[in-house]
Amino acid sequence: MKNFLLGTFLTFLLLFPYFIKAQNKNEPQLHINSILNGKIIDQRTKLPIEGATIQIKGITHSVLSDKKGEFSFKTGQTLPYTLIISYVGYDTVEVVAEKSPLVVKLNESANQLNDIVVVGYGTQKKIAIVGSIATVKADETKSIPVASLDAQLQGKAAGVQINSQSGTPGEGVRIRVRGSTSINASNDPLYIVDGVFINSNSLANADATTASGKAGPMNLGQKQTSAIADISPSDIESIQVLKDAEATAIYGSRGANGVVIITTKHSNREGKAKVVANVSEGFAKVQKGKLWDVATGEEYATIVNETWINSGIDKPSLSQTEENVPFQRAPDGSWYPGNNTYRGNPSDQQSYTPIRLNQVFRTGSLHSYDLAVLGGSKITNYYVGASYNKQDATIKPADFSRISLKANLKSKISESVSLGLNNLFSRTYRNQLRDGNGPEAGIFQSALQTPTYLPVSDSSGNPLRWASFDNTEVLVNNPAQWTSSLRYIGNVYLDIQLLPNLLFHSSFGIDYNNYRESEYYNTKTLIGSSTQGEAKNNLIHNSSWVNEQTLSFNNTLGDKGNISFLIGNTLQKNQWDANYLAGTGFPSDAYKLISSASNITGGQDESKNSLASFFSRVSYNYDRKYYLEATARADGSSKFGRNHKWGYFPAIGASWVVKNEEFLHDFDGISTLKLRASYGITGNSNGINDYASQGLWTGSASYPNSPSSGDYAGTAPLQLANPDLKWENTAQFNLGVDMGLYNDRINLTLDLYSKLTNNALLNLPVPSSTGYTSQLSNAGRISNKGYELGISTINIKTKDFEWTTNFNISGNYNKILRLETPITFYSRDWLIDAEGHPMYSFWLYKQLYVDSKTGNAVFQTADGKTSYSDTYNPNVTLTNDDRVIMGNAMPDFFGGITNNINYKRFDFNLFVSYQYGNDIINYNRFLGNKQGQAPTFANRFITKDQLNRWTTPGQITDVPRVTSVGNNYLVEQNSRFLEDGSFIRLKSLTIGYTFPESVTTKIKLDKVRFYIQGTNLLLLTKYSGPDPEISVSQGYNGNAPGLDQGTPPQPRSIQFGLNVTF
Amino acid sequence: MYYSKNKIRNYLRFIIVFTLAIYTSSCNKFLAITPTNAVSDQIAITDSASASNALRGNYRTLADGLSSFYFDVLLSGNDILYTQSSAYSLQFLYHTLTSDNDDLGTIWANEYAVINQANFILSKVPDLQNISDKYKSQILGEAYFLRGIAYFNLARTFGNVQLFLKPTLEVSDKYGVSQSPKDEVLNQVLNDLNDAISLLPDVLNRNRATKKSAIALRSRLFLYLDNWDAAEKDASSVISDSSNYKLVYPYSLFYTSSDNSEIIFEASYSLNYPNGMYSGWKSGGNYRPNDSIISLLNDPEVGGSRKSLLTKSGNTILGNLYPSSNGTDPIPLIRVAELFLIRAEARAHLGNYVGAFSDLNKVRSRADLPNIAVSNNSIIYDYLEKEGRVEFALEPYRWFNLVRTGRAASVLNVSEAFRYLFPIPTSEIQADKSLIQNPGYSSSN
Repeated sequence: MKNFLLGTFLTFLLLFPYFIKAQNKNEPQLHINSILNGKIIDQRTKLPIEGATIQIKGITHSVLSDKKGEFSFKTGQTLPYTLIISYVGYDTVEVVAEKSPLVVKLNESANQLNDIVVVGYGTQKKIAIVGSIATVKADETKSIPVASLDAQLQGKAAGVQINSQSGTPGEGVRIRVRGSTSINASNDPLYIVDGVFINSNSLANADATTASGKAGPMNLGQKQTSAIADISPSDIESIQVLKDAEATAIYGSRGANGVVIITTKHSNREGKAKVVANVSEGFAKVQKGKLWDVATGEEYATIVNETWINSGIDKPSLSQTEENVPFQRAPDGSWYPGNNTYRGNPSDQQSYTPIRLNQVFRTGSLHSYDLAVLGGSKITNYYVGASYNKQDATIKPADFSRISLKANLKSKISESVSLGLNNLFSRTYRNQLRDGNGPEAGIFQSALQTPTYLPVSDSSGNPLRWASFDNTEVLVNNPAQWTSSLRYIGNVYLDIQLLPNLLFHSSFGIDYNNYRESEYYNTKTLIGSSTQGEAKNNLIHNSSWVNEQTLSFNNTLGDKGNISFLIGNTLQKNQWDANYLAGTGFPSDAYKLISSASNITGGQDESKNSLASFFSRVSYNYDRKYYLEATARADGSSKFGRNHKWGYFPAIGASWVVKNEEFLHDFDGISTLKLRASYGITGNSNGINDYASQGLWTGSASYPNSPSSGDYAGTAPLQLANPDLKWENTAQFNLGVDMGLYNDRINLTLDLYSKLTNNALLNLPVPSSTGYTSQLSNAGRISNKGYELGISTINIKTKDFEWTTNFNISGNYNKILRLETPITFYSRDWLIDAEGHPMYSFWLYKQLYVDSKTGNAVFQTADGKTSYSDTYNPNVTLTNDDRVIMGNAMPDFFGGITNNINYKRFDFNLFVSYQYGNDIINYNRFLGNKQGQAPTFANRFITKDQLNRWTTPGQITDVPRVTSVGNNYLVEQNSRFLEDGSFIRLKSLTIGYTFPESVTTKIKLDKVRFYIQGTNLLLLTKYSGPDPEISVSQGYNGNAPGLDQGTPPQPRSIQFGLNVTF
Repeated sequence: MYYSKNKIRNYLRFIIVFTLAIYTSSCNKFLAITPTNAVSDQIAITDSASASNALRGNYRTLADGLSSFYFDVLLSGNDILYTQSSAYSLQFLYHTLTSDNDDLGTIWANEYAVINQANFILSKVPDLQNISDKYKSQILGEAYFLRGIAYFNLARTFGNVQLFLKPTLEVSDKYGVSQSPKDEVLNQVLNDLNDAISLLPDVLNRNRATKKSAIALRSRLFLYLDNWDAAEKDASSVISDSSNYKLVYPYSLFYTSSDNSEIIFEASYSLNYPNGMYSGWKSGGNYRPNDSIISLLNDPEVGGSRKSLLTKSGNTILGNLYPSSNGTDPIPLIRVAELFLIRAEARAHLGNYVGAFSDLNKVRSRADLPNIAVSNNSIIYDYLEKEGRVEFALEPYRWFNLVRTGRAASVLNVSEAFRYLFPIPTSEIQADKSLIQNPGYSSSN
């Protein structure tokens, strides 16, 4: 390795002075033979165009037009010569310059195929694209207050399914490009920021279950923070999502889940700098009416008493009768809700849940400020951006804040050598909530799920906690968990134009993340009370560097042909390390640092991987009609066994621009028509353990030599070797069409794809009599098939009024084609992955109906019969064989609709996202339906839907008679908790007003725009919980979505903002 | 402005050749990364030091697996209650186990993890060089002891299980081996304990296997084999070493004082490796003593000083077996009181009622309870059953003893005899199709 770095370095060292020297030597040979002055304007508006590139045909020398659209060209060439003038969004023109000054009028490109698209290791015009790529302009989404840019993309890109996992800003996002291909490896796409492969996984551990007082990862209740939230959306220029194999194969083993290429803002200005400032302020609130309906104290007690008596009838040996019901007064009339024997009569009970919910929810404030300066000269251009963003969650005390600095620099060191630097530095800070699994320290859980009849405080006002829940107010007032992330993403690169058509590019990039997580539970909290205060403080680093070299070449081939190729290599290394510190036993709540703790433990962990790659791409086009492209990548990874270190990922694609054929020339109605087809193989090994192929013994197994000796080192088997472990690979076939009608007033893009994943990486259960429970193996085959349709229309376009609509819809059908042993997820095995079924399916006992005579739940059984029984104590024991795979957490289709209207100085944007056909287990309702039956009564809330329980013969309901005996409630995975999670959400609505120039110039500003934006204003869904979208757990490697554990819903927010440019 | 084609060609050639040369020579090195927090299984046991590391790790595996197993057995004994609502735990309480219960797989996996690790030691250590024969014997003896405990637990929990006496090198090693009958498994336990007793030194160490702790465990095993004579002999041989092993007074001393003479063998815990049962019993934990055991412990005629096992937190009564606030208390696996009850039972079977009552009364008087008068009939078994229930109120004693004596049907209302054994976990049958489900349970779940 050292050799290699040294080699690369030496190569540069050898080359570099040569260029500089050569340059100097050549300088005197340059004679200025002509000076050309000119101006570039828009054909329609006659306004100057700033930043257009003016280049002399045949050589690379180019200049940019300035703010007034003017340029000056000094060159050794003599007039006349041909100029090529190009600008994004305009048709490129060739003009023969005969004399100075010259005025060039550019036409706005009528053809969508002229757009420049960022692809792997380069850019291409849209016409040359043979793969499937979605482009999103960051400006469209950056003001949606969800902190991370991936969450903002929801509904914007066809084929990309995005769900926020809770309404807490900065929390993790579930993103799937064309479905899920893997069970145990990651399904997250590869993120690339300005050429740097970045880590998109939070350094928080979603599956942390560290024992109390022990050093280790912090438990956030199966939630993660978003690592993408480290990047400020205000610095982003555009986002491209590469979807098919042709587009992603150049990323080889990391391309199977799609690639998200993020391009940050750069300047191409000359002269006076431009300053862009944006300010917005706002607030966010949950819709209280949308929260769960919780039974009142009286209803609660009634149901518990009823369950008690019914159970006594069903099983007399329980001795449960009306005489000894849990909710009654003592013979002397005294009672107290917390008393185990005399809780008081049902009518005595109060409802404290509304108080608890009030303690938790707030109106959060949202602040966002960013400032950017763009400028430069002929030689050097810079973009410097700074931003600050702070968002309160609607649930106390969670919040998110980010400070970010961005500095991009590009400089020409000589005519043919340029050097660039991209830097992104940010710090995010979050006050966090533990939610999800387990009641301890869960704020929302303590507010919602504590039995409503139990008071919040005693008679003298001291906070009380009950069952296994914390006191809500104590948690709210003692923020217990916080995390911070320091992030640097940047690279330095060198471009050498070896020949007019041969470019050498080299870059060295770094992604560094310093992540700190802390928790402190004082003695007032449940966790801290038994340990005299408990704290954790962990420092986790992730750093990766990547070095890449590419050589790209293009040339004409024959009369009408053009060929270009790219070859390159990268080397990459990733290192993760963690230091854990934990303490228990603090002198008092005033002492918060672990050094004061009486018991201190520590831990350390580390993991590394490396990847070496070679890749190439060859593109050929003939007459701008026929395009052919082949890419290939070879990846070598440290993660795999000696036999399978290297993986090879080829792809091929072709497109036919039908519109450029003679026979379509006269069809004016069709302005664009292009057909695409591609096939290729990509791989995936992301997310698996770096050492998964090795047989290992852990050193974490100390034990004393004698009771008083203290621990001595110990070792224990950790995992079995799998020397055959290899790449998971996905073969993907894509067919696409791009069509434009009526001068591209209507644009349509349709893609059909089929993905087949082989050798899927799987933690295959092995007989645990081996001493191990699972082994990572290549054992599965998964198929994803789907379609994506995007339609954008310009509905009305007049001088003062413009209305455009973008619509997209995508459907994906996932199926597991091979899986030897079904794998279940989540406690109680609610979810299952099984052969012949889609991933993320639910595994349930199917309740057919509630028998109207007896009130007993009747389930479907494996033999095709039912568990129907006339007695109150049905003896039909249901087993796993009777469970049915039904319902799925993934939607049938999803997408978004955006409407933009510009009327004079007003702009109006309405964005709707939708999802159809995803199912949700309303886990909260499940928990809220079983309070009569545990041996300890009434230790959680009861949801109001249980009031519909069967009580009288003849009653038709789907809520069975309450009893702790038999199947009614002891069969837990009941299909009646499965709900339709389809939704349509008015994601955002923005109204803006741009002040007239006559006003702005007076105050020396170029542009001033004021806007109001509302987010999550409307939600249409049949789902009975507050939000059908947040039911996402990141634990279990993302394999347990669609279980609504009671996380805070996405808030409704209103923001006021100001954009200023000067 | 550009360079001559020749020069460029030369430089390009240079770059390519140079890069390729470096790649071919160092790529494999670049891609070879060894972990820093674990070692290859090839070099896990190579010498005296690494063997003792592996042995300590084996104890840790045993200790870490205890809490889930013990709580489930306690639930089956019906003297504790479960404060959460998972139906899987309730199945133990209600004796309605189905084979898809997740906890069963955990118990199974934990025991076999102990066995596999012991098998590694037993297969590697005999060939080690540079290790004294004495130390080699001790290590092997301890590994036999640990394997014996694990197979003992498997046999009395699941009945017929697969016997593996070699470590797993590949998964395929363990496929398709049929289960040995319970008797054979218990016989293997006897062999392991016999080997352990012959190899282990007669020293005092309460958290590691010694000759005495292996003998104590064997005396428990002899009850399961109905070998009263041997059970009495083994129990006596430990009890007679009264300078090292005796009932401590008061009762609470056995769980409040470290390294006390009551303990014959215990599993140790520390801040880094906390006692899992501690968090189960603590305030807000998943388990609590139930009303029936609370009233027995609080009854001065029955519980005596053993009511110290209960503690109050607010309105709630909690189990107090692990009183330290940081989960470092050890879990006793076998203690002197049990040997007295074993010997009493064995003596009763041998007709020595005087001796039997004498042993019973030793346990009673330690708990500040009056003696029970000697009577020459089988009422002693009833006394022993009741005494054991209270003496080991929070230890996994009652279920196994009621099953062993065939009394679970009448005492715990377990009417179906097949429920005396837990079902083989579904997950295991799915992973190894050669496993046969215990009679009475559905074959696939």
